[in-house]
Amino acid sequence: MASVTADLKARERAGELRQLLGKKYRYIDRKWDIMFWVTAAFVVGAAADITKQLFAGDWDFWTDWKDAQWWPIITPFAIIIIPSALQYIQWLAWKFPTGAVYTTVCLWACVEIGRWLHWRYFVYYPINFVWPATAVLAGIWLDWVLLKSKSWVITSTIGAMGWTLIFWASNYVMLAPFLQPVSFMGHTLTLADVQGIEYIRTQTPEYLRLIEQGSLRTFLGETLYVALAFGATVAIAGYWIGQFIGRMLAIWPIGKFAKRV
Amino acid sequence: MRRRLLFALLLGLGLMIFSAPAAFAHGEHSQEPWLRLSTVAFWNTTFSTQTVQQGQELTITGTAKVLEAWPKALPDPETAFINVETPGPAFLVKDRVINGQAAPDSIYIERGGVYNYKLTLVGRVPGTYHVHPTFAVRSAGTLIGPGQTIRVTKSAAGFSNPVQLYNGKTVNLESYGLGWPVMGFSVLTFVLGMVWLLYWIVPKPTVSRLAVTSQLSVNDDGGEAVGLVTRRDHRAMNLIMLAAVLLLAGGWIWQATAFKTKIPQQVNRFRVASAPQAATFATATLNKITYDRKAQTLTMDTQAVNQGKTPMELRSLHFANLTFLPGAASSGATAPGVDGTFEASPSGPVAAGATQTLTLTLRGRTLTTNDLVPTGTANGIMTAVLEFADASNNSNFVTIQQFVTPIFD
Repeated sequence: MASVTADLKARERAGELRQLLGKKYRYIDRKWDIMFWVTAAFVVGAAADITKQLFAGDWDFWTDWKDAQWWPIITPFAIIIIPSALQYIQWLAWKFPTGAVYTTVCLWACVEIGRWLHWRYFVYYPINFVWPATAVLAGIWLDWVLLKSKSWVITSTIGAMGWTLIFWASNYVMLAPFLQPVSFMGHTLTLADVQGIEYIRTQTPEYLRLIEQGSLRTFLGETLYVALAFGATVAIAGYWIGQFIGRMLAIWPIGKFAKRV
Repeated sequence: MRRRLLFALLLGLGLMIFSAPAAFAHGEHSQEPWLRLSTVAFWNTTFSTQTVQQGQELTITGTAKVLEAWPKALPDPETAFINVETPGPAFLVKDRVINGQAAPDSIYIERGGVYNYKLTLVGRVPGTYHVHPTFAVRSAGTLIGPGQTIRVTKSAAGFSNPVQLYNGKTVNLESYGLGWPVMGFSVLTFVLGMVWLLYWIVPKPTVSRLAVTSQLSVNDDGGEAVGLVTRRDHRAMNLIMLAAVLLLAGGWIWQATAFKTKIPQQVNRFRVASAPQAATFATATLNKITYDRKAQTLTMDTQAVNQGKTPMELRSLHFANLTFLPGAASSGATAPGVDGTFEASPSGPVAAGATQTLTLTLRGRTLTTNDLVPTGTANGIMTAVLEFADASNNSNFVTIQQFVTPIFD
């Protein structure tokens, strides 16, 4: 009898919420929605790009930096932070599984504009040398995992690990042509290396290029797989840094200082 | 009052714009004198031409020495990269030969090492540029060699950058892979992301959902009964996820088929031995160096020892990237690669086996214009390289160093 009552109460409450969901507000129309999504796009794109530049600047700029050792470790970690924060905010506020896709799409648009405008038209670097990585497919995965699991723990583990693998796999498709071997200056190099040598990077000596270095190379030559495993693990940490930003720097102050009606 | 203010503002702005000279250098003067003087010295820098057409070659040759006087304040010089300083990729570097060895990447060097370099560039972007050879050393930064203004003219045939692959195919590196996969694949991922976003944003209200979601726990979407996230939403998202997987799989199949042979990016760093030097016949010490700020005169009291069997002469004097030749001070133009003259007293060769005191005097503003006289800095040490030549035309490059004694106004 008690369970039937509880079930009825739950249904009644769900019905009320459904009615509330369909309610037409006099002063809250779609203009507010448009204003939010459009204005936030620039802030989110900039925040994601700044975070990426802070942690993984050069790895995202040059084809000869996109190596099999450091690129899969550093860049996914750097670029999961803001998507994670946005995931928390958008899921909590609207139950939209869109935080990661929104961030990666905004990042994609902002960075593409920047690369074409600043790097191609202002300083003449060919875009096939300075193309930015895309994280949109990884973002779709992350939001999909959240939608299915509704769990931050599962999203941070399964989602973040998959994020790293999908990030690397999707960008490897674009990198592949530049890993073809060529003979240049009497050495066997990749096309990417040739780009790095030929297109002068003023005040950026080659020895600053941090690729294919470190003790990960001792793992039976399987550097890439070790790097991906490590990158997947640090992406979990990056995800929780993003959660901290979303929960403690974005949502918590609102709850603390905003007046609840 | 307002008009006057506006006029003053416009005048100031106009004066600023029209009086500003064009920048034709790369900030070498901003590096502190002790750093530039005591680390790397450049000489014999030559540029094969001052004008190139797009696609035509320009060669820069010269010598750089990692000085024995390398400052203790910096870690030992170990890794270096010889390159050029240009405003962005206005040129392409097609070849880099250091002491006879092709060196695409950085090299390992030694203190006191002498490195003869030859850089082959190709004009790429039409314009007029100031070009310098550079010698970057890890932990010290980029030391900038003598500069030259180079003009790149437009080629009627346009510009391409052909590079031959191992498989025999030639590609234009200016645009290879740009349409597909670089932009094409990237745009496809963006489109898929937009489909995902628009599915949620367009048909569903955003801001007003807060009234409902604020009554649910963070892990609860209310299910089908509430309607925030429906079965239809799940089905649609599954389809987009499937499309993402198919796009990824398709991309991988394409790249694996199209580019069967791939190698990782290469890091080809190796040690380049110092260029062979003539047997030592000259040594020198710098007893005192004074700089008279009012007279703009630098005086160096040196002691030269000729340990050789023939007379030797002081052929040139080098400070960082500047070269001075013996002779009377002249206000006229100097020869290419020469920045000024110095007077040696007594003039003439140093006899075999003799020890001779030489007073070297440099007049004029060349050193101060290049910010190479450290009278107002915390570290007032000056380093120079003297080139002595014997009767057989062998040269010894001797590094001398002393703290400068300024004579204030």
